[in-house]
This record gives sequence, structure tokens and C-alpha cells, in this order.
Amino acid sequence: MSITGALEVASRADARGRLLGELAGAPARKGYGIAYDLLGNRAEAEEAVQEALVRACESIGDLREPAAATAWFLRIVTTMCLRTLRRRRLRHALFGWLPGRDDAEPPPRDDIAERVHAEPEPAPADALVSRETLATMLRRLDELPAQQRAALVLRYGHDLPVPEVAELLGVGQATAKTHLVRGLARLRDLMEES
Amino acid sequence: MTECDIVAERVALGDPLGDLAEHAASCARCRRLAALPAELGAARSVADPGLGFSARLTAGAQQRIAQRRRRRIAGALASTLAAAAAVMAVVARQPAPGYALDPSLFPRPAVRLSHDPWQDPEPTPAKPTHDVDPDVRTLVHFARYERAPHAHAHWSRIEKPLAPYRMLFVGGEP
Repeated sequence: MSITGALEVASRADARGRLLGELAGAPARKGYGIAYDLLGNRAEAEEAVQEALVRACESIGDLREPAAATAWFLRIVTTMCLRTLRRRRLRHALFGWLPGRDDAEPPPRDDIAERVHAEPEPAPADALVSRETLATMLRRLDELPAQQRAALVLRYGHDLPVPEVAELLGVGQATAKTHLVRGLARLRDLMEES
Repeated sequence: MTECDIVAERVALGDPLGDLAEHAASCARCRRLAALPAELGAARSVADPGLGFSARLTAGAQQRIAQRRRRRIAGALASTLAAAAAVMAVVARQPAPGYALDPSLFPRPAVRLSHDPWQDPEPTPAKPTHDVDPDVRTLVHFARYERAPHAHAHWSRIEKPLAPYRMLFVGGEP
């Protein structure tokens, strides 16, 4: 290997190490928040962030602007979450009908257990939403298609503007708006059914 | 598009309801829909990944990167070896001489020879005969590419002059 080649490899490895160090801090925590709200399970959320971190380091060449590294990383996290949701649904559709296949069922929602059952009941005046409504909503969110669910969680749960939601979902703004409108309408119908 | 649809769109995008505020207040479904964004906002969890999250993440990622790099190298090596083996097999493959030269396997060629092409390469008008030169048979056999895996003869094995074969290419009768 020539000296230039060796230097290039070394600088790439160095850049990868630096990127890993940077992303594992605040961006990873933010990514974890998004992943946890999307997946509802701690283990799966951490797995999604970890996988996103690995992919980010492996495809460091795709990063055009180093300043946009966090947004780029969060997009990978969202993609990982959407993939997990789709796999979960596929597994359930394929093997859910088999008796004794517990792994076909989605993992338990830690957020319901932690927030609805463990936290002390807030005073009625402080409670924006009752625990029961909250638990129902989190369960009903699971029934939405992955993209609609992600759009709702990112837009209203994380207060992101529509362009940023579209960016994280990897779709155009018009598509993101469609996901939001349809997702809200579907969620309302599901909530009315329950 | 109904008023409810327009309300749904405005609520979803966070636009002001404007002239539809009255409808949104009176319609139960629109009221329910308008309340959803606030409820979804309240459903957001403040997820704490726990102590040592960054260190755990970094160590796990480094381990995975190294593991995948090893796997990738092994995969590339295996596919290179497989490709080399396939190339070697194709190059080393030759038709069995017994099969190629067995006259019983050759079909009788449609060409009827009127003279010995080895003695007299130039065609001379003569009466038709059923004698077929074995070399011509072999040539015809090789020409039937759909039967032979190799659509060519092994030129190193051909010792006789090639002049008679030329006639086949130019379309004449040998």
C-alpha cells in the first residue's frame, strides 16, 4: 500500500472514531428518545440506536456536511425503527396464528408499564390526559401503519415541523402531510372504537 | 371535500381553523380529532437510557463494526475462491476424446462427397457417392453446437491441412 493510501485509510478510521464518539453522546440520547416513543420498548430502542450508530460509521462517506451529522444520524435511527416495526408486523402476520409462538407477538410496551402503572397519579387538574386514555392511545398507535405512526409521534410527540418529519421519514413533504392527516383520522376512529 | 376533511387537514398541519372553527366546535368527530395532537404530545415519554449509555453504545458499535469487517473479508475471500474454482473448472473442461471420435455417435451428414478432399481439395464434377470422410463427419459433428458443450474443435489435434474445410465455409461441396 502506498503512503497516500495508508494515510487515507488512517484518516478514514480516525474520522470514523471521531464520528462514533460524537454521535454516541447527545445525538444518541435524542435518537433513543425517538426510538423509545416509536417502539415502546427499551431493549428494542437501544438496539435500533446501536444499529444506527454502526451504519452511520460504516457509511461515513455518504455524509456530505459534517454539520448535518446529527440530522443524518436521526434519520438512520428512524429508518431502523420503521424497519423494526415492519418486521414486527410481518412476524405477527406470518407466525401469529401458530400456537405457542410467543416471539411472533410484539414485545411488551415498557412505556405503558412505566408511565401508566408506575408513576403516581397526578392531580386531576394537572393531568392533561387520563392514564386510561394515555394507555389506550399508546396501544392504538401500535395499530397504525409504521409511517403514519412515526409521523404522528415525530410531529406531535417531538414537536418537529413537517419538513423535518419528512426528512426523518425519508419522504417528501406532501407524503409526510398525507401520513399526518390519515394517521390522525385513523387514530381518532380507533380511539372511538375502544 | 367535506368540512370535516378540511378541518382534519388543518389540524394535522397545525394551520389555524379560521372560518371552520365553528364547525370544529359543533362537530363531535372534529372536536375529537382536534384534541388528538395535544394528547399525543402528552404521550411523549422522557426516556432516560440509563447510566453508561454512551459507553455501552460505543463499545457495542465498535465490536459490531469489527465483527462485520471480519465477516465481509471472509465473504469476499470465499466468493473469490468460488469464482476462481468455477473459472478453473470451465478452462480445464474438455470433451472426452472417445465421445468426440466415436463414429457411431455421429449423424450421417447431409453432404454427399464426390471425391476425397484430402487428395484433391478442388471440387471436380463426379458422380455422387455415399462415402463420407470421417474428418468431415467430425467437422459436421462439431458444427452442431447444440449437442457439443464446446462449439469448436481442438485445433491442436488437427494435423491435416485445412484446405478442404474452406469449402464448407464458402458453401461449396467438398
